[in-house]
Amino acid sequence: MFSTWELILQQLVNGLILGSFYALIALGYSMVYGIIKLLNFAHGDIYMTGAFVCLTVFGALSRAVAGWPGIILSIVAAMFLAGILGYLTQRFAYRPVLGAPRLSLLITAIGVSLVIYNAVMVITNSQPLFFVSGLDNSAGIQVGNITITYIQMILLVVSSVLMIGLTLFIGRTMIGKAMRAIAMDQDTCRLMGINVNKIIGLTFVIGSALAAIAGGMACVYYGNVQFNMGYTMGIKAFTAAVIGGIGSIPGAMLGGILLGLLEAIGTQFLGSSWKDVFAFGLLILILILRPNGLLGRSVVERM
Amino acid sequence: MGIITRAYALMDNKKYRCLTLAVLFVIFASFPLFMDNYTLNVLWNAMFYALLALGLNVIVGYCGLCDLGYAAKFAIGAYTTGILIKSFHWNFWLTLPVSVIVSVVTAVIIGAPTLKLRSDYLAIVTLGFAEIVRITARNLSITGSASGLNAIDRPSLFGMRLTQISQWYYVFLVLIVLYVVISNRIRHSRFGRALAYIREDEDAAQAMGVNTTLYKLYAYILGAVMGGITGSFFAVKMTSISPSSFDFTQSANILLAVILGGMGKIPGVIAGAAFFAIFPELFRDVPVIGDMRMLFFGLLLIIVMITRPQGLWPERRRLEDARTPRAS
Amino acid sequence: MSIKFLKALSMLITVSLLMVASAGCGGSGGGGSGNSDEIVIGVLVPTSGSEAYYGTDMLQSYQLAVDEINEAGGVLGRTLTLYQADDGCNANMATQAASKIVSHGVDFVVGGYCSGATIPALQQFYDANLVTLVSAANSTEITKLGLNQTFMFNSPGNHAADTLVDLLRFLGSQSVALIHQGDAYTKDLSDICESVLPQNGIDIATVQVMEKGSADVSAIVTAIRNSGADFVYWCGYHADGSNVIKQLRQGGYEGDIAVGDGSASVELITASGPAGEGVYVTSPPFVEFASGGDTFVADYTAKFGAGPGTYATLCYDTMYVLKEAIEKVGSTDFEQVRDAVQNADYKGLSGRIKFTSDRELEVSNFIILQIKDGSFALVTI
Repeated sequence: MFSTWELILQQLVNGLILGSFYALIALGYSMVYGIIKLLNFAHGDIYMTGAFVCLTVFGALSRAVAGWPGIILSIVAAMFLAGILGYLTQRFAYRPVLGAPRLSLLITAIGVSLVIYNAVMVITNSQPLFFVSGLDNSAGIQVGNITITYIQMILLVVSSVLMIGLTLFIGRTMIGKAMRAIAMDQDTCRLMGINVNKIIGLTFVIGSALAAIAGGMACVYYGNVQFNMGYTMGIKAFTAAVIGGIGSIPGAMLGGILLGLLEAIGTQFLGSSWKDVFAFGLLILILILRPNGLLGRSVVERM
Repeated sequence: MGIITRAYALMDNKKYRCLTLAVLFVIFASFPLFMDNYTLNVLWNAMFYALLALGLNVIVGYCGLCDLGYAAKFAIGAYTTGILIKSFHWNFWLTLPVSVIVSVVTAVIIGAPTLKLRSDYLAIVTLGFAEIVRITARNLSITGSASGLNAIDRPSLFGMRLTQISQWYYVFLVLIVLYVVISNRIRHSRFGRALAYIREDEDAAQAMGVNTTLYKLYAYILGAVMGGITGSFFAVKMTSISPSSFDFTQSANILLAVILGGMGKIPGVIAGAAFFAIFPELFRDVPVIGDMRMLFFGLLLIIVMITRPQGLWPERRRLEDARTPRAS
Repeated sequence: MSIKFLKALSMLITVSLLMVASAGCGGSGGGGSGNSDEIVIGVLVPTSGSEAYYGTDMLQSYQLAVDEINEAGGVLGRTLTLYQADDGCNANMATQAASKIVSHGVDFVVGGYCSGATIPALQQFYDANLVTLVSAANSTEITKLGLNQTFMFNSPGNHAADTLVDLLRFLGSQSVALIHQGDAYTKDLSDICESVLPQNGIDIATVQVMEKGSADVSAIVTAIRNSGADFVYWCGYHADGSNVIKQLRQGGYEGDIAVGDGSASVELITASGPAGEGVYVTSPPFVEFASGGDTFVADYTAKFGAGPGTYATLCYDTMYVLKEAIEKVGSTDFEQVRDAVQNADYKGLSGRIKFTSDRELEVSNFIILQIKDGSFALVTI
């Protein structure tokens, strides 16, 4: 049995882990939204694809490279393939529709999501696949009654590094600058000689690669990969991105972590059957009180 | 498209219009006489989605609000009717006004504080609200929890108990006509023009003295009521409702029907819904493809959006100003 | 009426005409019952969507039984044919599939996997006077419909709860945590346990829900540990089951774990690895432990290239019960066959099949398995 403080702390640890997954995926949503104002519904499916690639590559490598090197290789492979998939969706599905009304773009995204989701479902015969790495998932440190496993620590470190790296990339590099500029005014960017299409493509590649890392980590950490794993994750990450203020990179991270923590606390004190009601209820409340999300800037909108 | 164009041409000819309409009506109403139950059921499903799409069209098509949680509006009607019949043994027809009242109240509660939000945020609010409705229905015992409400009593009309699919076909046909009339009236009313103004340029509308928040709320309520009534009829036609019928996929499906057909345009919306309901059925018995029909549906959706970004059958005036909206 | 309105209405009708024309092509006419050489059996299972694997397994199992019966001379000298319609595990699709089966003019109906899709379809079979044999779906809601021609071949949830009570008594567990997945079948099972267990003096420590495919259950594990439960019963499916077992162990839960029939799959063993050792399963009849099961597995594998799934034996038995009922009354008459199925007493691969007046199985077909050294072992209490 836990003491009250131990209980809350353990739930915060649980929430932090879940929240870092949300944050990694929410980043992709936010980046894409920031640059072309698209709610990329297929993003959750990219995460799922990343998990599948990771599992498949690891399975294929297992004879040659096992253990951590194999895992790292598999996740890198997932990043590449998901990045390519992200680029292809952008190039062949979204770019031709960029001139159409916003809702058409949204529908295209739902179409892309349907295609990826159902393709994986048919390929896997709607059966889950299991990742058996032989790693000891339960090894870790124990403080009082609170357990933190080593693999959880690795997850937290990797996500933090990725988030800091992305922030630096967006803030400090020329490409990052170009991304921010396109988010402000596409036409002017074009006049200034920025290859807008290339930058948009790159945004999709980076966002998808981040989702694929999250997918790969989920594959290693949870051990089961199924075609519907991106659905709930996608909606939650989307929610996280909006809570943080969609289009804002730090907002996506904050939103993700916050949503993870809220869900863990909600599970403990309201029960898991009401935790989503709690999370979505708070989402609505936050948006009523802060209509642009926690860190979003107020923008004049034209439909 | 050939038949449509020809039919359109026929319709434009004043001399033949009434005659053509009458003939079409007779043909349409005569389907149950020679069609098997399966075909009628497929048509019923198409009409059902058309009703939902017409309701959502008021919110999305007329007013330009993005609603990703329309399933909740239709769930509220379905559950109101289901609970009143199952737990309180009400007559179905008496549950309809209650269903309307509940729809209005929930639409005001959720709409009043949120309709001022940006459209993407509104999308996520409606999605969140729909999830709240679905999970609540799943958790409570009065809504039958996850199994939902089953064996809901079928209603009677003119002393006839509605059990056959052919009877439901006529009921929904009448509803379609009713919804089309309502939609058409709205579109050409002062209210409808205000909505179009808001959709095209909200700031300008506000500057011209249109109370945008209030008008948006009216549109939202109207859409919710239309969805609620459809839900009530759905509950007694299916005789069973469960939370899984009201998930996000359902909301997305209805939105797809509206956008695919060309939002704002009544025949377009109906065509979108019909396409959505019938397309998977056509592939039902095709081996291999049958199992992958949703994949093809997704592909088709992308292709349609690329080749006809305004939908299969768009409203004429929306064709002109198709530009990417940007934050300025 | 305004001209624009007339125009809109006419367009509506044109569109509807078009869709009728297209739907008409897909609609099939001719019934099977007119042909006296054949007995047509409608099969309502999901062969697309998320549950396609189970639906296909069921369909193949029916096919195996039908082929065997036909090779042995058929029923009353007539051959059995299957007419399958996909319900996609979706209520709307299921009602269309059901009307497709009814319109085809079948003589009997078998199938039923997802309770949520099966229930809306059943009323149509009742209205069409078709004896309906539900092989897998086992929600108690089906019984509550009170349809006098619908028989459930799988033990309903209360049999699972009774089996669980036996296991809990055997282990001396006092306080149980339930986890379900929020859909009709798993929630139904959880609800039944929630009412049956306290009647037998066992506490319910907590009830939790894990959404399908939502990988993380660490918060639930902490809540369960905090509730003081000494036994966890997973009511959900095997896709998420191994993950739950692993996270329970990883999160420091040390009590016993049991999983329900939705997770009774050999994949559970490989996927949960060392964490799975000692986990109990309240399982539907497992083909490996049935007499005559070996030949069934061999035949099935030879025919379809992969082994049978969880509900294969139930489907196989369903077809034979139907065959015996038809042979007993010597016709395919609705009422006679219905009564013959009601009075059937058949010893099959899945155990004894005999129906109560509620058309549920009289004798529970549940068994208790335990994962020992990487395989299932039968637990006798």
